[in-house]
Amino acid sequence: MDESKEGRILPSHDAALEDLPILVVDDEKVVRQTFVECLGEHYDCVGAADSEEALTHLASRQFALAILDVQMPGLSGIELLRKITKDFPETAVIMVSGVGRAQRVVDALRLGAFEYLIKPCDLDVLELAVERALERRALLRTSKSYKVDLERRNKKLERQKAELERLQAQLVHSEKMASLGQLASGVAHELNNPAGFILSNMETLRNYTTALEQLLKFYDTVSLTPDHSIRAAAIKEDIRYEKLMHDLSLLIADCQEGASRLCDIVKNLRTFSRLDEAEFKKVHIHEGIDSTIRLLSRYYSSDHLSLERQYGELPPIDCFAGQLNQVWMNLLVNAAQAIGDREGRVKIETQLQGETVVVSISDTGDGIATENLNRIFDPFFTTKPVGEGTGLGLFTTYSIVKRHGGTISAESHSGKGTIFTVVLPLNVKRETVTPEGKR
Amino acid sequence: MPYKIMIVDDEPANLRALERVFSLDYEVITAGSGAEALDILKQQDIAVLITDQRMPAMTGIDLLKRSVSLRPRMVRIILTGYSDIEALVEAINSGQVYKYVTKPWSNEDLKLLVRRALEHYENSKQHYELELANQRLSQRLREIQQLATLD
Repeated sequence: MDESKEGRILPSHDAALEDLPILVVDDEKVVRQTFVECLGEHYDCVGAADSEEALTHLASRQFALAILDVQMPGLSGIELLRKITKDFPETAVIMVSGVGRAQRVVDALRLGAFEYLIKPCDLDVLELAVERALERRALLRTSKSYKVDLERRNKKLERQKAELERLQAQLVHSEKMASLGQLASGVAHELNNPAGFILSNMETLRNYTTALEQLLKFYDTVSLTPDHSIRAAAIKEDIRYEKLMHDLSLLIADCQEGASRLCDIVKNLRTFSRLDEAEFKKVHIHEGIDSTIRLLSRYYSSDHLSLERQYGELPPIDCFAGQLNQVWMNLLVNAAQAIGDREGRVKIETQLQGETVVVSISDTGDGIATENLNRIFDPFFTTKPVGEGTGLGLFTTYSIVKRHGGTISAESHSGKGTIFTVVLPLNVKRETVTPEGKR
Repeated sequence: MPYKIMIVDDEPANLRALERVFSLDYEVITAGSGAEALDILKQQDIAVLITDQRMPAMTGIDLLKRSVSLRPRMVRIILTGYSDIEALVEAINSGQVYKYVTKPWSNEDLKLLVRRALEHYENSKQHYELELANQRLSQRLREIQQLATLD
């Protein structure tokens, strides 16, 4: 928006107005001349003998005011009034008539006439009426331009409000991401220690039990006294020795599996948040997508949802890895949620196109209604039930992609599914990218 | 005589877990803090030192730095959570740290690493002894040459 235009409060119409002439339309030459002469002292005046002539004048130049006789041959004054209010709204009109029927006066005023004078009329009254009509016209024009100005200001305010909302949403997002990242990194760090010694101890425990088993097997081959042999058999039965020995290694295997899964979670949390690496660096996109999928196993390990990965050959790209992972996270959660509990497929396709990396994530879900499609990246827009969506997921996604100098677009067919396409440049200038989630 | 390995960690469960990994093959000495570790280093010749990075008071890196003057040829390994890696870069580059291991660790990898560390230790010790012998021989040579010129 042009600021100089914004800053100007009101155009001054008054000066231009005073220069505009007055048109006197009357078929009676005497009346016309009297009016023109009288008003000619203060104003520029033009006479017209009938409506046709008046319209020719009106078409050729602008008039501040037209004084119309009501009864005229051809087009009547009332009809001329109608034409003027329609085609020349900037021109004020005073009606003059020999007949003062109330209904006609009301009709004329209703059609937009400023005044209604009865002939014969006092010239002072005429002058006063003209003065008032011009004044009123000026006021109307001023208020109209005030209105235009106000509307423009309102529009500007609306734009500023939308901008503020966007900034606020961004702020909310960065706060959220910062606290989430801190939480993730804190949790990962706290889990590292116990996960470390549990995993290590489970290995040692397996070695110990193998050793003990060796010893017990040796004892089994030793011939005991009949008395000891009976007691050993009783104890073995009591503790269900055979089953215990068999179960022991299974038990350790299960615990080891659990511990290593715990370590995987820690590792994924680390890849995901990368809070300590909140800097700009070259990262392999596929690693980020894969670790995000592992974090989303809640969705992507179910039987009804099949996941297809069609990865192209990609070089590492410049990015904030944690933030890009947030992009994959949002898109993959949405894709899974679009399919819900039904059978469906999510496909991730990546490819190199010139100097850009193109990642598309498509689902076979319900699709997005056409009327919503252009609003999905708006902050606070959500179609999810209350409490499930913040309305910030795709907005965040959009912001992050934009921050990386990329683009994101969505294409959807109701009932057939949706495809999101993210295009990221291979090389982004560092200065153009600022880590918003970092504090 | 088995090599002496020292493990430093403020978490007793970690100390015990690591002790179990190495106690079969080496003499394991544990310390719950950097200060305790430095005290032990003054009295005992340790081949490999494995320390946690995050400890109250003295950090692992500080301990390794201060251990250089006490045991210059000892091999230094640091155990760390991922978030400390950047702090480690400087220490690694300045040669005070032989390797770092991230938590959670794998016992087999750690055992292999310590075996390598001990080879490194042996090599550098032999290198040092050769250097000493070399110096002694050079000294003798100079003395002999001086005697020769005097005559």
